[in-house]
Amino acid sequence: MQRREFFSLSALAGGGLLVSGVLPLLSQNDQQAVLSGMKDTSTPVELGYFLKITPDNRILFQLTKHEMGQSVSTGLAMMFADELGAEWSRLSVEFVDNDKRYSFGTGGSTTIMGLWEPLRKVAATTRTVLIQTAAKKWGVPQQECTVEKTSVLHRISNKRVSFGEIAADAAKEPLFPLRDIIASAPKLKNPSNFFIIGTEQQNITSPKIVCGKLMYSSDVYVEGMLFAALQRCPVYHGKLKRFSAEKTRKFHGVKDVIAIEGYHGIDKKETPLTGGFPFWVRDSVAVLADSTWAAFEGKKLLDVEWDTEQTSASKHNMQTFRDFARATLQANTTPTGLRGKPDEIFSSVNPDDGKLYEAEYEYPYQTHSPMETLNCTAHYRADGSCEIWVGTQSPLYIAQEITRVLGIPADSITLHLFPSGGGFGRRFFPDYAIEALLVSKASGNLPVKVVWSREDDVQTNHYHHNSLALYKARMTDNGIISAWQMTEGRTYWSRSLPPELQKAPEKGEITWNAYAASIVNVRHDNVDVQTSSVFPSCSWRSVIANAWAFGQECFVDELAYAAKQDPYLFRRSLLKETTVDVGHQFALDTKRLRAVLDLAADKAGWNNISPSKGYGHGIAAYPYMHGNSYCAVVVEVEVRSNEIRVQRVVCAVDCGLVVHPDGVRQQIEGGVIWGLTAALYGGLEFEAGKVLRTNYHDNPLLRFHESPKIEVHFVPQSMEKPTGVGELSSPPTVPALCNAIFHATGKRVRKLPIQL
Amino acid sequence: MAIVFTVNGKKVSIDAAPEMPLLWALRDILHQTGTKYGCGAALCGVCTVHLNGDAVRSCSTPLSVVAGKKITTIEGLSPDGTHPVQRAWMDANVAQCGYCQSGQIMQAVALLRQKPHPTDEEIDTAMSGNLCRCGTYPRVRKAIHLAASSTYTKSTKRGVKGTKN
Repeated sequence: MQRREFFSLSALAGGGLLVSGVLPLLSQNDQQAVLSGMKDTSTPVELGYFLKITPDNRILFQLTKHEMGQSVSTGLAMMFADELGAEWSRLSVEFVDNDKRYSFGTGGSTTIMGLWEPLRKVAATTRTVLIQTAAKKWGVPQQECTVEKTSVLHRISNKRVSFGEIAADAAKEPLFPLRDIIASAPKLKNPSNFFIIGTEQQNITSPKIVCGKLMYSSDVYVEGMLFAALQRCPVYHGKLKRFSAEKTRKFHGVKDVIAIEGYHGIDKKETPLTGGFPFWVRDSVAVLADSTWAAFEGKKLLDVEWDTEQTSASKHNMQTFRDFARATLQANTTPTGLRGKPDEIFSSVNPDDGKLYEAEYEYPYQTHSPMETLNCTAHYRADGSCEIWVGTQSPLYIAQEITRVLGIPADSITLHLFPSGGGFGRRFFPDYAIEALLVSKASGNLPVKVVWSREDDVQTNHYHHNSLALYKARMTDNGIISAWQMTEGRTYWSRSLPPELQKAPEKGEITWNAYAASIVNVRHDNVDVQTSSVFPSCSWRSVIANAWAFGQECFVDELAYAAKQDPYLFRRSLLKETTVDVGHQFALDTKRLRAVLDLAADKAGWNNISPSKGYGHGIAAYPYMHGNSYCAVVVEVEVRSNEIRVQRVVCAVDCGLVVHPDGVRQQIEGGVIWGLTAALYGGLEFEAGKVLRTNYHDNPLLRFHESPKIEVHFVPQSMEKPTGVGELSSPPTVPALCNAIFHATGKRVRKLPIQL
Repeated sequence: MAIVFTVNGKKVSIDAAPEMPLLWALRDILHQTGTKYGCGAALCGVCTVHLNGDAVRSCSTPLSVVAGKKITTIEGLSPDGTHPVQRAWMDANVAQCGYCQSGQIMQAVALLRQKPHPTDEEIDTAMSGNLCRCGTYPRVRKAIHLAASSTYTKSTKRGVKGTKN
């Protein structure tokens, strides 16, 4: 297979060195396993990479992962430059354009940890070639040579030659077969010699960003293109009934109005993703114009009728859906994760098993609201080929879906990839690219740029799933928890549990519950309400961990207060130093969780915060198992006349080896603010299946003046490799805030957004 | 009828409806894409530019208002990213995805011109209309204080030149 011919060196026009290649693709099942967090991502994953060394000794690293603000372009480049021996100042990053070796996905907080080894192996191999070339040139043994400051150095004679000067000669070195790289890679550096990894660096995209010169897909202009705005069906599973575009067509600049027939993505038999990742391209009416503004305005003048009567979504508002979900949870559900014999404890009449405590927690639907709304430019050519300009977390998913739905072979698909103005899981799904291509096809093969208005983004999108969960526990008066059960109905990823695990719940997932180290009897029931969801749901930063951390960390807080114990020390007493098999690819390390809990409490001065009226502090800790990292958060809040002001947020983080410290801090700070938005302003009101929110005035984000002081502290390095950070801090932030509000007011918050 | 105004010191003439917001004239007609679309309703500040030196939301400023006036966008702040606010933004490592940052920067430049040493409260007031989904607010505050400090303002004259047109 040609793409397995991994590592190639060739001459760059003008005398440099071009290094290119790809690590092997995982099997399709393995891709699914990685994405669902069930497989260790340290096994080789596809790594398209591309490196240029120019004669003037500049190093150009081409990024094949998606940059959406998580600073992976900087982190990966730091890893690469360090292993190669290149000075950071000589390095620049380009975003891959029209390379056929598409990355399958960027998500799950796995980029840095997944590429930690493979990427450095590539750099080390390149370094070896450069050393070989210099040694040959000088006629000395290569063992006497080393790299230093983007040069090869002969230690004995002190001769020095820059990478750029020998780049052209290095291009003549023989090829390295893939298996050699995988199996017997050149020796990687000793971590004590790292000189870029772990140092304070600014993001490599910053100079372009502050000049407005970083190109996003929405900035694309293609000769002859039209701008399109789509009026999409507002109700899940609804269809276009009729439309009239008389007024629209008269609007200055409008060129055409076309009906687009949507479709439901995902067929279990035909896609690599075996369920759990459904998406929907809505029926729509597309307005094509000579400017975005004319398209937006023309759209407002449309008269459209939708057929939504037959859909179950049109029967629901938030209350009726909640009632439906609750009834489903209260029905006779079956465990999808089981440890010990919780059923026996819950039905026991023995008072030694303690009192029964129950609570219902709801983490609702909500929007991703990336500042750059979804957009895609597409050109479906008359010759049957196509070209796409897009910011996406999963280019391969788009390419596969184009082939599946439109029958365009992979060779005839060209993708131009851009960084995006926020992804947050939404840009993992291919619907908006396929939709743009359908519009281009229907327009008579014109290039078309589809831009979603903010109202489209809020009202006709895919959303964070709705999660309703019933918690129950039995606990003695002195705080011994004898059994714990959580029953959750969520509108995303309900059906992705492999059937074999449903038959063997003792191996299934018990959420990411670290307290199972001490609570012997634990049960988790995952109930399918996804098929009845009012909206298409999709991955949303931290995904399932949002609801899990919210419910667990608030409910355990309730138990701590019921046992009249300090919430921090109560948690601590439940975290025995061990590992817990929670049914995930990584075992949950309670030692790591306890360390961040202790550090957060220590840095926040937990024991010294003096209680005063209207002030409260709360704590929560939760791992992000997809990324194999741990985080604890202390929130200090002031509540006056039911007005909530978050004053200070202290975060403690264990993400293993810290590659790009300031990038990690950014992710933790950003995750806190993300969580605060969800807690204070999230949710979606809807009627008859239609979203009532429209834009930032009624779908608010946390604003500048509401942003608290945020501190980020790292525990001493716990592992020799990095683990993931992008989705780490939001999940514990929300319960820490709600627990602080309880401390301040005595009111328990069990439903978001918070209403006092 | 053509509408004439100045963008970053250059005179432009646009044949478009007077109701068209400046944002779309900049992006779709002049292909100056540093100014971004966020909400279309002056709710998020992503599209902020300067009109005769004052920060305005270009998504809600029709061309009829712009006629005969001077517009400065992020591209006109400095030719090479050396404006003190741009340098402070890099030093504080503010940006994550970067999409809202041209609006944040233009808002901050306007603030610092009126109040060279703003207090936290004044920064709150000036910046509360600029949304960021990545959550860069603490660093925006840090960068504004940095830009106001003497090491940055020494070279201000050179940097601000482009906006005083």
